[in-house]
Amino acid sequence: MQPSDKDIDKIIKDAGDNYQATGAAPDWAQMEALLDKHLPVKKEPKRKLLILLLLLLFLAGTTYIYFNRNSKDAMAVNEKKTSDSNIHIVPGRPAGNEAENALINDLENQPSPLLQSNQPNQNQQHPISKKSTGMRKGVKGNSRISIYETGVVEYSLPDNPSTNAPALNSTSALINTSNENSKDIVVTDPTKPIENTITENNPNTKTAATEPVIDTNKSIVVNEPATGNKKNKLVKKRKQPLEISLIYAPELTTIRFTNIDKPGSNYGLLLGYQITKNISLQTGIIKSRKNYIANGSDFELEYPLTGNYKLTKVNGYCMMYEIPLNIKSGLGSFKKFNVFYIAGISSYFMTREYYTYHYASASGIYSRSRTYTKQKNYWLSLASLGIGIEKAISPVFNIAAIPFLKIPFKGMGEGNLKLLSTGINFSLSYKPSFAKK
Amino acid sequence: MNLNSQDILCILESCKQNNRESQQQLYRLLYGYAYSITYRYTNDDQEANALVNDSFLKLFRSIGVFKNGNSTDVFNSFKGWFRKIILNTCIDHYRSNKKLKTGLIIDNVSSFVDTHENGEEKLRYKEIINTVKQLSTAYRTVFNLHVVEGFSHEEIAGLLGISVGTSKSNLSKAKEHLRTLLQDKMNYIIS
Repeated sequence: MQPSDKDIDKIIKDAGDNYQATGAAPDWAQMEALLDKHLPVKKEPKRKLLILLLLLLFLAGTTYIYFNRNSKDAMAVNEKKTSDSNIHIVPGRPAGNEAENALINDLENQPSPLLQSNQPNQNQQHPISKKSTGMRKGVKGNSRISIYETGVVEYSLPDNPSTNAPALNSTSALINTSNENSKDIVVTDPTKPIENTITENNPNTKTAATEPVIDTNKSIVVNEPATGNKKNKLVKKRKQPLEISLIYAPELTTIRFTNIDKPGSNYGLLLGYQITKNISLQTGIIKSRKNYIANGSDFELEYPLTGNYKLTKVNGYCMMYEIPLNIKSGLGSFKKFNVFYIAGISSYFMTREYYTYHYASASGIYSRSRTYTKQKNYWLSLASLGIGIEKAISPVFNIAAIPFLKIPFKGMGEGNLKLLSTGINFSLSYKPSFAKK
Repeated sequence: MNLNSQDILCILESCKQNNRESQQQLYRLLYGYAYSITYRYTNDDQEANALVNDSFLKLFRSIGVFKNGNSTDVFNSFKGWFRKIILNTCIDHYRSNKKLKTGLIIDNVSSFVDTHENGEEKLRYKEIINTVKQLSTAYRTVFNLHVVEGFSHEEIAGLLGISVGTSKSNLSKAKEHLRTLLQDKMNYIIS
């Protein structure tokens, strides 16, 4: 007997309404993964707070370094100005006009009471020996002092020190030439007693605390310029605040520290502007290629997969242009290297993506590749930090190496991936300097 | 799990805040119910499980929309609302795959083992459901929507994107197949 339609409907409806598949095992892990992907628990406030805290720390650190440096410079200037006893000219720095004038005036004034008091023996070698440099004219009015950037002051004396001696008195420049390479020059204040700045080799001569003593073993030579009485003007060079850098950086990119692909690369041009002695601003353009591998769970698909297909892995690369806004601040010097740090925020413009999708299903594993060329813009979406060392290879060229870390604020690209990158920036910088007129 | 209306309301409120623990609790509570429905519309367990998870995802996304109203039985009211979500998920799945799966009678149906069955009724229900699963996707879907869910042919035509005539034709053919498949078992089932 065949069942009627009504019988079939009733039986099956009863079965459909009452049958409970109690043997089914709920897989919460799978469900949770789906929820984390499409309905994540928001953690934005904490992340924003962390970013804000980092920025505040950065600003505080920069401000501290800036004011600390300024206060040290101010102290150094004050010491120089208020020093009444000695004006110490150190190597490499040009002497101030004040010292130079003092030296010139002294040389054109009275003969040296020092030499007179010491009663130099005419037969003895004059403590200040001659130098055959073609400067045999009288001292007065003709002697000059040339003070070079190296700090060496050289002047020569005429044959008769007693009458035409230069003012090697307490007001004179006392030159410590303890060795040939010595570059220190000490100019004493004529109004104050002079401390021991020159040692005397003559054991019979007492060295008075207030009397300068000439080291007889040393020679002091003065070069007279060939022309006129004009002072030799110091030629100062002034550096411009602009800096142009070429950079190249190999880098590694990862997503949540899960997988790392082969290194990508960055290269570009940066323009820097120095706003204070130690702080400069940088911007420019960098072309970047990032290679990375993402787990299937980290890659957000635009449309969920149907059936029993599961995305296991995605590997690929993207091409992008980066525009950084960085602050570069000096930390100090170590031997011949300058140490600095860079912190900033960058914008990304993604121009091309290429991915290979790896799927798994009950029937096997499949792969499919796809290219995306639609441009995606991510303004101020990435923070970069780095500490580097820099060395001058010429007066205008520097080279630097800067290990860096780039931290994204949000996901990028087709899969909304958070691309964390690290690498080393190698740069060649050009900082022009022009003669100050 | 015995939960009163107040417990259910607390769980639902917590799920609205995207709380994972409450979502897990609700998931375990309604998983079997959802699976029973999706199982009737799919060919295998994996597919049924995927539809269950998709249904729960839609549920958690739109749980803020659910309002109990004046019903004293919050749980059944919620189940009825969730049932509609599940059916819509199954229909969406059918519509996205119907080009591949129409007009075939599936001979091999993956067996579903009910480890907690006790009594003849559950055995009958299981056999009947498995018998229905032997139908092709198109026939099975129309049959389930009309006979089990109670949709009219006009509603089925609108949901599946087919004509009313096609819906009636599919239902008629489904019953014809089922009559043949159940003929041997009917005496046992009816008795």
